[in-house]
Amino acid sequence: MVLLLTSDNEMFSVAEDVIKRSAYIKNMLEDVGESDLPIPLPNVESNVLVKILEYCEHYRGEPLPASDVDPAEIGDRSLDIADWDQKYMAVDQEMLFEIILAANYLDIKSLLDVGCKTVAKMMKGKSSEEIRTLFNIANDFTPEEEAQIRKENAWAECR
Amino acid sequence: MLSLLSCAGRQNPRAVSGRSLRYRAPSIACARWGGHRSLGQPLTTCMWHQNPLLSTSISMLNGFRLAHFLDGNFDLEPIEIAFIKHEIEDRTAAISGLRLELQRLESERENYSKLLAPLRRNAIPPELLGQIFKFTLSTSDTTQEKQVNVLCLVCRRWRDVALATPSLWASVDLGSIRAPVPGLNFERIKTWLARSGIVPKSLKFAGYHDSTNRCPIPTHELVELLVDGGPFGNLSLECGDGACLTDLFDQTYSARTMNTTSLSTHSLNLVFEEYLSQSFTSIWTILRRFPALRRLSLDFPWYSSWIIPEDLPLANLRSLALAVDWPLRLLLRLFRRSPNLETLVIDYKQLARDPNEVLPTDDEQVLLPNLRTLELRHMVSGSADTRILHTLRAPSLQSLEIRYGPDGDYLDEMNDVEVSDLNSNIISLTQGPHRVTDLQHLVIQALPISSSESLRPTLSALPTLSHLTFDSFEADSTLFENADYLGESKLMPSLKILKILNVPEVGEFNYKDVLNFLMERREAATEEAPDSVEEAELTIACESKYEGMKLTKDKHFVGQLAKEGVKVNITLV
Repeated sequence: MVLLLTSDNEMFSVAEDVIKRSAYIKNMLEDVGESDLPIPLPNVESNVLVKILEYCEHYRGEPLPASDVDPAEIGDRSLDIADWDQKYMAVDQEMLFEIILAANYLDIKSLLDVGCKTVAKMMKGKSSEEIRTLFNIANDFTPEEEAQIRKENAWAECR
Repeated sequence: MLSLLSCAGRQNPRAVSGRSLRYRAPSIACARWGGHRSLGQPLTTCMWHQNPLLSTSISMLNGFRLAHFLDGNFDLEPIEIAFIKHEIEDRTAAISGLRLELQRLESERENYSKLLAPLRRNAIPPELLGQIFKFTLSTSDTTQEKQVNVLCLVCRRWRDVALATPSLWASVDLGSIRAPVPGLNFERIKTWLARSGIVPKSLKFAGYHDSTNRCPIPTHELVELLVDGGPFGNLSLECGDGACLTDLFDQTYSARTMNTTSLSTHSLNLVFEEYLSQSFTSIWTILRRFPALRRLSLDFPWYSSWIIPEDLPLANLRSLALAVDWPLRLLLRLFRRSPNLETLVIDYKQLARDPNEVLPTDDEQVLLPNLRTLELRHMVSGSADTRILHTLRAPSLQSLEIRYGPDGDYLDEMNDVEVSDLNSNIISLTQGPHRVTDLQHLVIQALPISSSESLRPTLSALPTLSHLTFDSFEADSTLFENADYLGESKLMPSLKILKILNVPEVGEFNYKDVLNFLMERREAATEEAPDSVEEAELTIACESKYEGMKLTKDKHFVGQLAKEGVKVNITLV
């Protein structure tokens, strides 16, 4: 078992084969060897770690993804999200981004991809204004700046 | 019991009415007060509150008397009604005020919450945001460029992140070019592509000749773009005449030779219009310009020569997709030039084969040792299109897709000889030297046969088959009804995933035969010979509720299979 200490000081005891889906933990275990000391996770809160462990537990025993693939170089099928993953990602935005950050920190590539795909799908078919509304982002362009960007990229809109 | 409140300095004009029809409540109202009330001003201010004594008295009495009123049924004097109405208005105004306050607080709370939104407070690092942006290009219903524009116009930070993500700018689709081309500013397109840095780029356009056969492709600008805007890893070009593209690449090649020796494109898609037969020779001229080609897609049904040059740089080709109506022997010549193919797609475009075509013999067989995926699309029912299987040696083949006709069109039903030829052609892959030994995936689409039983020879010859898909399957289900599930004669002993999709409502196919087939396999399984089936998917066209009801009755059957470890999904569409 591996002990993990979250940023809010909660201790988790996790099976090694479950948490080894995290390349960060896997490398740490390989570098440090067996230890009774908990691994501190200063960037992960306990409620997020619970969610991360749910993912790792579900995919326990399944082969780890082979290598990094640039999503820009793979086809439409790259956006497929498995049914279980879709249900897993049905959380509020705050948690969704926490999962993405934790997956990035813990280096869980498959989970990071699922998170990024989920956010990308949320944006599908939306205008800039609709995306701002979706993610509560303020439009900080001046009208002149916005006009200039539109002018620069106008050729793409003519196609 | 009548107790009227007298207003100071005034007599109540209705001191004793003389009427005693009903019990009257103690009056809480005074007589008309002299003051005039402005519109919208609370009555208490203009009338009652002008007299402090009265105001105090009323406020002291209000609670008691109101409680008294609320406990029973009373006649009310007009002045009392007016007073109560006023009080109602007073409370209504107070409630409105509170509602406004609530709305204000909720709005403030929402605004504060927005400040905490992860993407607003930049909680997501730029590299992750860039990763999300890359995925949006695949999800988008529009062109990649339009999607990048959308992202850039969200806010300053998003634009900065987009500009720092080179792959977002690596693709340009000029769309359909018809002269003159308004809005096609090549300087801006160059600037766009320059943002992608050294990332291999993608360029796509389709030029359509006008009625005078004038080519709309702005060759000069495109040459500049190809020379200065590259490297282009992926080119997808369509034109009415192959000679136009030959000219484009000749000029590009000449300009590039000053710096490099060739174009580094690894993926090329060429589409020519059908009727210009001279384009056939242009294909080979163009291909010579691309020695690093790994993926080639060619849509040009017409052929005008049997000559395929020896010196084509196709040895590195891994993927070839052809949409052609070339004689099979001509195809084989091309395959001989591409010995390292891993994926081969031949789209016959539903074009009828020349009845006088001399089919290749076994002596003309071509060995493709690395071929793993072979797909034949849009074949003509009963034609010799599958004969190509007889002449390909593909020992590494793992996936075979046999697709007939355009989807949804009526196809002539194949006769026994034609079905036998189909079986023979597929089975030939598994026979002789360099035979297929590990075919795992088989897809058969829109096969115009009446009995699935006629496919038994093919399926019996493919014991390694793990994934079988019948799409738009109009045949009956006898193959499953009569399937062997015991011993060496067991049909598809390695089957894991079975998909039977788009079965028409009117037909002889009975999905229950499939369920029985799955159940019997499972029941016959032993420790030594376990059943491998994991999943089955059936989609059945069904307009009548009757079918739906029947399906509901079979749910327990599906549940039973699930308990046995076979996930069955039946969908009525």
